[in-house]
Amino acid sequence: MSRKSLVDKSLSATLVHGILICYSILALWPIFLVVSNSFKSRKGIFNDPMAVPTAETFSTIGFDKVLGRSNFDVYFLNSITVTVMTLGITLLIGAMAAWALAGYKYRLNTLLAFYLAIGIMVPIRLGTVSILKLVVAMGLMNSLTALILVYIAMSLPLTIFILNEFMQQIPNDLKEAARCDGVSEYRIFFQIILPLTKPAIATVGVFTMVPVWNDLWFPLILTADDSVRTVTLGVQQFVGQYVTDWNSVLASLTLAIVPVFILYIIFSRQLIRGITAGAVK
Amino acid sequence: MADMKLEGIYKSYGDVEVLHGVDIDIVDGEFVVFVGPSGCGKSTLLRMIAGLEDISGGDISIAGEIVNNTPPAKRGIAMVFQSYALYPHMSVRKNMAFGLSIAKLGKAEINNRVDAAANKLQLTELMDRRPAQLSGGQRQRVAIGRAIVREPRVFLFDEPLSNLDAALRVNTRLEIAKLHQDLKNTVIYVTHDQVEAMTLADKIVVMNDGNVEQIGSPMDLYHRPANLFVAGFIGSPKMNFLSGSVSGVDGDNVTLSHGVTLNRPGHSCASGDAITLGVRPEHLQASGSDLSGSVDVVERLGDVSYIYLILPDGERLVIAEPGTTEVAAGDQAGCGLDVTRVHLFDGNGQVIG
Repeated sequence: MSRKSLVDKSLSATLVHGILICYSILALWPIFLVVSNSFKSRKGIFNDPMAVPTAETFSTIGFDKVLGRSNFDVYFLNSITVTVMTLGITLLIGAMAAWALAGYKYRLNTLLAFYLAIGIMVPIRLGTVSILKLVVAMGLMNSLTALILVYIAMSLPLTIFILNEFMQQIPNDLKEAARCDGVSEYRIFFQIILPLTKPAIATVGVFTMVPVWNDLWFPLILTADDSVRTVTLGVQQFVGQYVTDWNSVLASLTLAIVPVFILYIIFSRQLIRGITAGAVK
Repeated sequence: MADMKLEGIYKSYGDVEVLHGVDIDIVDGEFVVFVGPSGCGKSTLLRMIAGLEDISGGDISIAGEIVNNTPPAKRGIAMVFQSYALYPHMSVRKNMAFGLSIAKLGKAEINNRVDAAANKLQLTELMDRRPAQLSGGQRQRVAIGRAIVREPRVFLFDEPLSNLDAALRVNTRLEIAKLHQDLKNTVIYVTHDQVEAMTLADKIVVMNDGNVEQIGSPMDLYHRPANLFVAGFIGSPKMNFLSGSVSGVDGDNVTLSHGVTLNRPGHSCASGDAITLGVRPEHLQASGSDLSGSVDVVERLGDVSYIYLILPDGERLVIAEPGTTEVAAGDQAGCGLDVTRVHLFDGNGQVIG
């Protein structure tokens, strides 16, 4: 390789890294502010919001309030229940639907795939009023089930779309070899197709999890009751019309990061494993 | 026993019929090769035998039992795919054992069978590797091993050598032949390569366009091709075809416009009929004067030389001369026809006599 193109290459690499580092700082800055300020006293927060906690300003008053005086543990459990249930059911049903579309040829196949993909284009929040009516009619108001159902509906289209694309890459011979081996269709799905689509499932898992965990809209409408509030809704009680309890808000937001972070680590490991498994080929 | 019978097999996809009534009898232990150009329906037929494609018409029976609606695993077959179709996320051992564990065999039995197959195929050292860590030839052997452990009545091979390089192909071909001598199972083998067909088969089924053109032993097809297609497909280089007409008929003897007279008892030729004369390059003598023309190209391979002639009427002719020829491009050369080794085909491409 000539000297010039080498220089060009390292230059463009520096440029790319520079842009990515800038973006990372931009994206992580608010999170850094939330976490660092959550460990400061009220005075510390307002005197110098950008400063890291010092011996003088360090305080866990926010965490004390959140854990001691509110139902935060309940909110937390609600959020985890809703997210995990949604994730599990979406991935299972989504993967099965995607496999049905990718692995079997029948009439209406394309039409069905298109119908399922429409959900990606239409924002589910447009249907809020109808969803509210539906939930009321089913008697599911103020229940986690309502949230889970809505989130599954919200996540399925993209899940099916992505997994379908991915599963079409799996050679047909593999399925047929398994049939010759006497493997039932369900086992083909669970023991051959699913393991091979792990990286895609991990990706979709992350895409599904984050919006569900962060959502405020549907809890606000469907689960106003204190016992079924999620974290995002629970935080709102510290945000007053006139006074906001910043210690508590920041502390609960910091706590809310933890479970998503853990779930993300689990999935991203799978993701990396999937990528490297393909790379050594 | 695993005699197999295909009777009037039809296959259509929608309105398109791709197999038009195929009848084949296979005797237990036979090595049968389906050969034909791509798109002739040979793979489809194999997949129908395997149970991976529906049968649009006709019956397939194995050991006297019609298996049209039997699922693949219950037919007593094992298939080796062109792409090997190994499970990428399983080790070699698991790949071979997977089907057996599905069939709920005991652990000891599974291990016995897998180890025996691994031994036979020299896979013992590779048992813990993933398919991605194997070479093409090794993957091929694993795929064969996965078939062997099932102890099937019939092995099905779908172009198993076409993803291997030339040297490995010859080796693997020999291994498959040896394997068949060992196991003595019925084998059905699909290929588009006539050399594989000639070297491996007890019985060759030549297919074209969804029809069976001829069934017979390799030497049958070589010496007595039933029609122009088989004559042209079997043998390398290809058989020479010279079109012409019948110039005279005298009892059993037919005289052609090329100036040769052939004895064809029972022929129904009349003077003036269009015919095609077929003669293999190796059956033409470079010395002689039955046909002559100018030499276009000469290929010398050491053991044999191919002389490409252009006849006065523009037709091309290949002569295979043993050894190294003296003839050079641009020369005028003639060749001798051995009338006992000439094939005669009528206007519809069917052999005469």
